[in-house]
Amino acid sequence: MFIEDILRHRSVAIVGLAKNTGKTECLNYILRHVKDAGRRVALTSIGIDGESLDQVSQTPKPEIKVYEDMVFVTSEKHYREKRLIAEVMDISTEQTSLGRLVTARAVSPGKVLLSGPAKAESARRLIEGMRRHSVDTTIVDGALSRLSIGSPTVTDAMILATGAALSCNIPQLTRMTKYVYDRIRLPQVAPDLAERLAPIESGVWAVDKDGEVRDLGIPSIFMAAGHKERLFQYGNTLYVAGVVSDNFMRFLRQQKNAAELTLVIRDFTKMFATMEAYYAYLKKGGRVEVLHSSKLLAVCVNPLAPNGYRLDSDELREAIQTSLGVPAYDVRKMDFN
Amino acid sequence: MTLTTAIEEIKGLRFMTDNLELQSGWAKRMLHASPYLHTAEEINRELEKTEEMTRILRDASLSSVIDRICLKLAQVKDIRGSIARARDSQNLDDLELFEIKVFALLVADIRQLLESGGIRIVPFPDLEPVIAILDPEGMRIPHFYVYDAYSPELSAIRKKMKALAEGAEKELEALRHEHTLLEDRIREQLSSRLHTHAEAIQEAFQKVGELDIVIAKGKQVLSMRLCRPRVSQGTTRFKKIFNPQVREALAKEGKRFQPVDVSIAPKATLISGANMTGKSVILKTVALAQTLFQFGFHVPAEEAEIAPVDGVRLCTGDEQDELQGLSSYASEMLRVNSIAQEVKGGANLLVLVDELARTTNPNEGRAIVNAVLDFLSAHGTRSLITSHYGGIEADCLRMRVRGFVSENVTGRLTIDNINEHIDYSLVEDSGDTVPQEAIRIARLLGVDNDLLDSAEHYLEENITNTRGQAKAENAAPGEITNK
Repeated sequence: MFIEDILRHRSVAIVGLAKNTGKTECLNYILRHVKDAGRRVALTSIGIDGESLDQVSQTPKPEIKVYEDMVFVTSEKHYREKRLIAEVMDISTEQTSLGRLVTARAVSPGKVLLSGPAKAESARRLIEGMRRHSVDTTIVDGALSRLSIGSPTVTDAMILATGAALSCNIPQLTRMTKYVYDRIRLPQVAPDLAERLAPIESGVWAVDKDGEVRDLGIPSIFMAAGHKERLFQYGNTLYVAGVVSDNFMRFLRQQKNAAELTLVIRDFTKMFATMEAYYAYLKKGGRVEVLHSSKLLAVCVNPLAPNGYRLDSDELREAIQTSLGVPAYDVRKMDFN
Repeated sequence: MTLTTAIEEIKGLRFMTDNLELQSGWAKRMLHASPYLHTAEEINRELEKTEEMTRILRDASLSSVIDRICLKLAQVKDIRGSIARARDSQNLDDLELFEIKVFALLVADIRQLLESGGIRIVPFPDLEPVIAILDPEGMRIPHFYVYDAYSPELSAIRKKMKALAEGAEKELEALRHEHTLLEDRIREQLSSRLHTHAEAIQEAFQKVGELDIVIAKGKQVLSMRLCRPRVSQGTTRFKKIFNPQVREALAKEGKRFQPVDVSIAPKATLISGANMTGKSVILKTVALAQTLFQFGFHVPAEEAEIAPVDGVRLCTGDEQDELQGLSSYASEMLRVNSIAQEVKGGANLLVLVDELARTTNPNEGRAIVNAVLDFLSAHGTRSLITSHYGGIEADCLRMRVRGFVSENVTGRLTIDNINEHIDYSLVEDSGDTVPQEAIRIARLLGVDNDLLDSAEHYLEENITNTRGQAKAENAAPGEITNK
């Protein structure tokens, strides 16, 4: 049902929480299983995660195996290096550091390095454009810690890849993964309020008791502490259009009305605070809401750390599944089933 | 000179080109690279094309064809790189072959649409032979790869590759190598076959840009109500010339632009007129219209008859020469000098100078204006020079902005409503007097009375003095006369 779940969405991002969390294995697994599902799948990535050498460890990076009739997008450079027969369907006008982006259909199965647009906005447009090629689902290979690709404004749903590379301690690894999950499933504000807040792209704003959006005249959260007297003049609901930092979360927690506060952010990718600062605020009774909520389909776990240390696969899956309440898979193990 | 350089020099030209609804980036680049036209034939050819397009655009039965053509034009990508490689007999890769195929299919669609509408302004070469090369299966789908249909050998290898069981990596690798070599050979053949059609592809690419541009120009003619100028060799005449950008800005404030008639004979014309009566706008608008004409565009007027020139020289004093450390006087004089050198060298220019020598003392300023007018008239240079100086006696034609009509003013005049009381039209002027309305306008604008009383006092004293002086010097010409 993992695969069916994916195919129910127009676009799904796969995001690794660290290098070597098994994102590529997860992706290859998915592709292997969607190929016979009778739906057209497209594949792209964001950023240059398709480098053949891991930029950090200099170890070779696996290519992605695509199957007949799948659509894939990659840069001109990687298109020329592909090891399969493919039919060119489109070439973008937009340039990336590796050339323009080529959209092609695999005529034979084979391997290719993926490279895609460098910006979330371009990725969004690219996914939008896939309709022209009768694509049902676009899978986006998100680069390392590019959570922004998981932004609900880019893809409809996401899959997280996590594992021993992030932490070799199961409880710690679970907590770290849970923190990402908790942000992904933040509750959404009322649709009409979301609609009114969405066009606001900067500054700190308030929503008063009647639901009116009020400009506080504070251009950024970094100036919020200096305008304390203004901050709560319209009540306890604040909207921050940009990113939210650790300091700001700490600042909110220390306010007298912390228990009554509701902080509205655009989507979970804007929350940059550390786990500690974030949960401490929630503990005080504060709330966080988003304009657009996201959907986590599953978590893929990789029990193997790059240093060779191996966690118990079942224990890890169990821990994640219990803590998050979403299915967790060890993609390597699944394959032999 | 290209349109890009002209845009840098002539204010208001960018407004016109930005307003063009061009479909492709290629057409934009082509437009900007279009050359300044020197001969009547070249200009007429362009005007005729645009004229023909406006006739097509007015025909309601063709509007859906035009819309569909525009949709196709919007898909045109800049494939000059691939075309150049094809002309150069280079081996093209899949991406280049793809680009050429997509383009050839687009051209086929556009040709068909043009034909269905009986539109023959921009004739396209036939690219069917190109499509035949790149679409061996006759699918007419804008995708490309080295199709099985190109070679039975290729198709056989692919079948073998497909039949191999997973894990037979070694055999697969060998087949893949063979496959690659074969594909390369086919691409080489395709490239050499395409080379023979490279000129036609290049021509079609040029035509796609031309068509895009002429449609956009035609639409602009209709939406802005531009006119087709007649090419003349004598006096340039505009009937009801207007400035589209200023007109739009005024319209936004609920105001109306008053079009004016202007004629420019092959000698100097002096334009006088009170402040705020639109002299600078006239110069800028004439510069714009002449430049549009030189690039084969219709012009913003009701009727126009224009003599081609080798260049338009507009000198308005808004140039940013201060940045180069020159005073406004110095930079103006250097500009005037370079114009004079060009004219002496035999260039046929349209010269437009706003308030010549205004930044120096009136005595010498007037002398300079006289000299420049004489010089331009002597060389038969079409030119408009505005000035506030009285006592200009040089050989030139004279025009005056009718100006302020105060009879019907009710209520207080302000900067906001003063333009309703100005008649911007140009009339022939015989005398050498200039309107003395600066103080009057200032008063109407509500400038402090004490200040203006004092100014008037000085003015009277000045006139008395000048008269006294003039008598003493046996009535030297160049006196300031009050009307």
